[in-house]
Amino acid sequence: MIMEESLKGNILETVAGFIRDVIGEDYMDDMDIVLETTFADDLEMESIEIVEFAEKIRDHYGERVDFAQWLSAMELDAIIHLSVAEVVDYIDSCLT
Amino acid sequence: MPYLNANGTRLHVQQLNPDCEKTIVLLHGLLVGSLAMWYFTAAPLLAKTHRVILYDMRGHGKSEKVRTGFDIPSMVGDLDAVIHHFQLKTLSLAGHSYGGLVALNYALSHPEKINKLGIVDAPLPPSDLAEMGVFLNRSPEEMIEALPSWLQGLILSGKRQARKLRASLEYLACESTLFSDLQKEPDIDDALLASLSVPALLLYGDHSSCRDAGQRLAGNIPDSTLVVLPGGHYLPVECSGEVNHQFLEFFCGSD
Repeated sequence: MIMEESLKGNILETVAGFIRDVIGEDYMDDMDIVLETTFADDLEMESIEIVEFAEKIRDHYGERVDFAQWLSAMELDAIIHLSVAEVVDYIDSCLT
Repeated sequence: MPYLNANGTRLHVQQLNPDCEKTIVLLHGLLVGSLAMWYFTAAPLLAKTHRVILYDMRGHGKSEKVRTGFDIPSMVGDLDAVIHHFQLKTLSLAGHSYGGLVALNYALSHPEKINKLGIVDAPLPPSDLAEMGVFLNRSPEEMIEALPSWLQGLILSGKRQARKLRASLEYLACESTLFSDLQKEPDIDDALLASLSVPALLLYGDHSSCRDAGQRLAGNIPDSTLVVLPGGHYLPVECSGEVNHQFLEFFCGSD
């Protein structure tokens, strides 16, 4: 259980780092990226920036994590409200 | 991010399932389009059986913000550069709106390279682009207001996206030759359409302003199938389930 939580903590840290890279100059230091943060509503990311994020995920985790394939099974409404927690859980499920 | 040089213009490219033998290149529409439109809809499904290559057209998405070259010959030149870069001997093509016209023109000039062609709500003549009537001579704010409300909700959930879209429309509509290039673009001859030997799937929205173009293409391209789906011009997003289904049946069925 402790192992599992630390893995998720590492994933969150990695994911948050990629988000900061993608948002770049628009990233505000006082903006905490937590599990509840959503990509479109809170981070206000454009769809092409989510593609950039997906590319970073693939380059880091390799073929085991097929982010684009996972998103394609979702309704567009669900993609708009996609949260960091959902991405962390998905990556975790691919790695364990 | 992966970029390639297409005739001096830097284009942003993405690939899914790069080791697969059969390849399909997907092209997006102008102004509010980028490769993200296909990336989050049909691309991952097609990637189960194909190498899928997507790129941001010049001036769009993460590609270089050039001010000229939105005419069909230049855009076909960009596609040709992508095909050369990946050394593709044969491939299938699919495109939405103006991207569909670029795909069609490529297939007309290089039929021996194209296995199958998918066209989604492309205007004909090219100057009948759905956005032209509502976007021309408008401010970026008015252009955004002219978009269907469901699309506004989808791409503008926050102020940051609105600011970026406004800047992009400002550049494309006011600082680039996009609209003047489109207005000058000649129609395609029916006799030329009738000479196309490539199997074509034509998907059009039942309340799209481009719907007549679908009828005309279907009436002239010999090996074509027209499917009219419930929706308007932004069919790949508006009716993604059905577009995906039609694409899978057409591109992934037997050759």
